[in-house]
Amino acid sequence: MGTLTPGQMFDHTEIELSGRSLSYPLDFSAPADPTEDVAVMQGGICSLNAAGQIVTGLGDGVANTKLAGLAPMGLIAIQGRDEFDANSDIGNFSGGVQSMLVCSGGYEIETTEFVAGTYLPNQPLTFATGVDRGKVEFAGDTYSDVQVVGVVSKGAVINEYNKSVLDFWTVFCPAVNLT
Amino acid sequence: MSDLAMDKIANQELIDGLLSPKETEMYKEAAEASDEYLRMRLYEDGFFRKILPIRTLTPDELTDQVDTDVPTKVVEKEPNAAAAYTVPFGTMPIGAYIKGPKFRIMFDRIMSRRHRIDIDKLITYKMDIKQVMEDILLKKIQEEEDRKFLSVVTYIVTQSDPATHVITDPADIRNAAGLNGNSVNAELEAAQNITLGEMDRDSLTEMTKGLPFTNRALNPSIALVNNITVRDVVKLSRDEIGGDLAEEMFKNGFSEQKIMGIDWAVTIKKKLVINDTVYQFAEPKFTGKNYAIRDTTLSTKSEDIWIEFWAWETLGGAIGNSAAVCASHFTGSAFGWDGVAIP
Repeated sequence: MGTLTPGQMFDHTEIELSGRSLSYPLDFSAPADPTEDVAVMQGGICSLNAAGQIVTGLGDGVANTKLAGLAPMGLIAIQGRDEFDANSDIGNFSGGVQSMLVCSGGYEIETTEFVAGTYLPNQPLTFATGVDRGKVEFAGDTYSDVQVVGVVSKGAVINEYNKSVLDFWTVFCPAVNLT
Repeated sequence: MSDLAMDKIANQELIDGLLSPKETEMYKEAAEASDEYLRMRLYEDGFFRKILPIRTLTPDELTDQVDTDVPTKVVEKEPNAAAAYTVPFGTMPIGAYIKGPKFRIMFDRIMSRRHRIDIDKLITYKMDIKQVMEDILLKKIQEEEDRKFLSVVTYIVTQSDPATHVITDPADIRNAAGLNGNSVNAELEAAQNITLGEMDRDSLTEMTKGLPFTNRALNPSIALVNNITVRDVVKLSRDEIGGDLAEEMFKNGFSEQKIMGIDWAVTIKKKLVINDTVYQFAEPKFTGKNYAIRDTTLSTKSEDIWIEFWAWETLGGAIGNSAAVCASHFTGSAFGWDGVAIP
């Protein structure tokens, strides 16, 4: 009996529109935080906790504003937590690790994982929090108050699977202002 | 010609070969290299493949899934049937429906780091360093196979109370003795993870009852032990393990062999198989499946002044029968597989 149910492969997607070297990308692999109750979806934004494990967004209850002594690097999930090469049915030997693209790398990403709204080119993006944890959202006018993980390139469009997707360049700029 | 000279030529031939138009070479396994260098540690083949032999699948043996294009294979399990019953003449049987359970095998990839070196530094090594590194990388890949396998084994044998214990940390492998030890798994009506006290003939005999004790009554086929704990077997006396075997082990030490009807696999990976612990497994046909889509492969490439190589494989497998594994710890107080302390 299967114990794992992945989403349909076009429900949550991450596509590198440009910037990826097939054999030499700036990617990173780590296990998921076992206490994390919100699954990271493919294309979702995540970060590492102090144990080096993946948490969705910045983690449960963590604001996207300045964190003393920390600059939580944004990571874009290449696989969702419950995809079969990152997780597996009980009894299987495979899985346990997810791969992500690092936001400081030079990528243009197309993702389904963003907070719905109007996005214009050059708008900065940050980690969404609360019920939208795991998605990116507009960083606001005072972008230096929050952790910036991307800049909108072409805005939101409908892709070939009739899903709303957002195109953006990855950048990383930790919050600098105390808010 | 000396080994050193041969190895130096091998390094040069490697560079010459890689700088030819053929850029990528695939190797199935590394051969023994020269002994003209100081070895620092011992590596071994993995125990995982001894316990669950691997079979390479062809693409048409995979099972398509509607929700993912990640390779998957569905394996069928033996069905079960309700007990037969006694009736008087003229009575017809009540109905039952045939349902064969199935389970999925998922696949992922194990890979080494990408190792690279400047071609003009490579020629300064007298040993065939690439061949030596290849051999080590293959062993490291098998070590990761072993870790993943034993992580699942540990998960299974500590599931007597799954509501309170979910293994999430690979380090738990080392703490299995303290996790739900000596308690009965209700589904199997037997404990799967017990302490047996000091190793002697009685505790070794009790150990072998682990798999037969479950309601599936499997027999142990292979035992896994580390190279420290197995020395406690060697110290057992003539009375305890029998004359010829005791004498042979006293003279020659322990080699992988059959004792008490079980094959013993000895590993040096003490971080995985801790001291005083013996795992037992049923025959592979009762235990699970182990498949490769691509078995261990070495990719080698040259570009400009660089030579690089890395090893990888795509494997999937599962233990499909929780009654096919158990763990015994020769520590603490002695318990039986019924979870009751042995007086």
